[in-house]
Amino acid sequence: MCPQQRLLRTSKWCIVLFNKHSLITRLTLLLSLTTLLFSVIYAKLYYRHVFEEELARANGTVMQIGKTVSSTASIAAYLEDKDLATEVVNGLISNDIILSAALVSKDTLLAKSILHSGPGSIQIKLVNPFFLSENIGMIHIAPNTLIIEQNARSIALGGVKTMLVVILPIIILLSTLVYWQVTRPLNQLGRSLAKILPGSAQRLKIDKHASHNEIGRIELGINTLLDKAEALFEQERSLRAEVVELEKRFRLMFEQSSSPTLLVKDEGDILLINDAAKDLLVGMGIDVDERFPENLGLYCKTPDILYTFTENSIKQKQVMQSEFEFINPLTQSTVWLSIIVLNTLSDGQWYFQVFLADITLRKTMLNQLNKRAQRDSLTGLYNRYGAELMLLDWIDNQCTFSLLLIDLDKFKPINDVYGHNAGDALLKHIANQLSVTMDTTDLVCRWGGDEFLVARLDITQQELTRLAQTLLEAINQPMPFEHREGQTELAVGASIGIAHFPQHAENLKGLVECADVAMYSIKKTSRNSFTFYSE
Amino acid sequence: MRLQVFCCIILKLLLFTTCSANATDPLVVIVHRDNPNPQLSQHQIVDLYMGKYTAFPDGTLAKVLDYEQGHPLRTLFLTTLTGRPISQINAYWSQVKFSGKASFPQAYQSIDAILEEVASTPDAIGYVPATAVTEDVKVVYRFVQ
Repeated sequence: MCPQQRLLRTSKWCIVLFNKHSLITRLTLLLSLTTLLFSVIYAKLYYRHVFEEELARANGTVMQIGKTVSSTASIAAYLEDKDLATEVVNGLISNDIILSAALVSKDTLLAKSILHSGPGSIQIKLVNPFFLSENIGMIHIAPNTLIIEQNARSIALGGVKTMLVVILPIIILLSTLVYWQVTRPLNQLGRSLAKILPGSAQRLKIDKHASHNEIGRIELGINTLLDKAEALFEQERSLRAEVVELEKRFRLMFEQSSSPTLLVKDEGDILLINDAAKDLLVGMGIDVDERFPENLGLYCKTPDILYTFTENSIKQKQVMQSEFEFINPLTQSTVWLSIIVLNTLSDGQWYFQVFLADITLRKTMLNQLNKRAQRDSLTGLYNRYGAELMLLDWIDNQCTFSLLLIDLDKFKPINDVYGHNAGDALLKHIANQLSVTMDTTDLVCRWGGDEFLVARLDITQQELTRLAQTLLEAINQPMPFEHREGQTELAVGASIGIAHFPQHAENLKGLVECADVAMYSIKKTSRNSFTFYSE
Repeated sequence: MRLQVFCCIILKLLLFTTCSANATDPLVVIVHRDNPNPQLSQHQIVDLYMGKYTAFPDGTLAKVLDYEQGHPLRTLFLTTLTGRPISQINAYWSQVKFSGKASFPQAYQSIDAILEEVASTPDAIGYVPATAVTEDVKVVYRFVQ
């Protein structure tokens, strides 16, 4: 082992030992502190015990010494001999366990040591040497507690020292054993655990010798956990692969779909847009990066209705479908879109799927068909069906209007003489004349055969009379016509019956009948004139 | 009792030639005829003979007379008076010898010398066998037989 490695190893040891959070440090500290505390308590208790014992022993010794000198002391007390008493006292205090002493006869102090003050703690009675029942004095002795205390302390300290000498090596031994048996294996376990990737096939190596102890059992448990984790990871991995595959398919379905589809967050951000939708919207000049539906509203003919529609859809959480007309800013052409909004809740967040469809072609065809059904193919005016739709609409809306039924006079002979082409041309001419005379808001229609019908909203009697006059003049305008024999002019008159809504009738049928009645009354009488219906 | 009898026999043999009195007689403590103290207690006699006091209870100085050491009457007197063995009394004296506080009795050789000294000295005190008592002395204490 090279010196650097040794140094590294030593420093690791130090880190382990002096890391205040490591188990070994805590254990050692705890043991040391407990031992210290225990030693202090032991020292206190032992000291007290030893002191009491020493005190008792010293008292016993003092009593023995006192007894030894008591005969001489008795003589001194008997004779009240101060010299002899002093000798006795000096003899007593020459013992180091005696601090002070005094000898007292019946009522006088015969001798005392320098340190003596007050009666000592030990008293020995002195009797008359010749009359044993007669008390003649007392020896007072104060034991030297300082020396006794010192003795007790040194004995107690010695006890503690002996104890520590036994305990400290045990602590060191225990700490070392705990380090080798617990801390080091645990650290190794921690290090090898950190290297393991969950879900992989890596496992902890279990020491044969340690497989039956607690750490070995922990390692076994971890390996079992790792087995389970690996199985779970494997399961998760295959599930994820399935999900990815499924997502790919869905994406394909969404992206390759020819139906333009958007996924929009409820705030209006477009999250997903498939190619078909992108093509459609970009083709319409709509910016797909803008928020929905404001980006569509920019070119919508009825943006308010579009916004209300989407708002309602969000509010009511219902599938809604509607059709909107747009202007393509690039081509200035009309584009019709069918919009379906479908609300979905996912993870607490509302989304809406928007399905678009370009229905311009269909819409145009329908409009054309509709127009064709309502128009007269020869004159281009409304036919009877178209007129009826418009008039019924006016009646439903309670509009006031006047209706003029125009029947051409002497039309049949023209047809008969010049052929159907002449009749058709004349009818076209009349239609043109009427259209020119009337306003765009008025109704002008070919009621059938040689019958026309016009209607105007909110018109006074006076204006109506003037209008009828003007119409007659317009109808009477002759039309140049070329035929095999040469050029001629064709002219017809007209009988006009006028009825008012709602004065004359409450429904269309009644109103037309009224106008018809008025018209026939003219036809029978004057011709090329007009009259109002009267009851 | 046996010891006492034995002691009396020895005393008789010793005193036969020097004293006319019967050695088995009980001892009595005597003072001068004119001594004012009528009686003395055992305690007072111990205190006088052990050197504690040198005066009679009335305050007059006392001259304590004793036999020489080893005299049979002294041994008998002191052991009977204190109730202690003679060895203890000797030890007592050897302890107090040097302190000078206690005063030793004056030692005499015979009963007659004691009698003569007591009869002639007013403050003297001594002891003799009861049978040897003369008219010149006064008995102040008798040992109960």
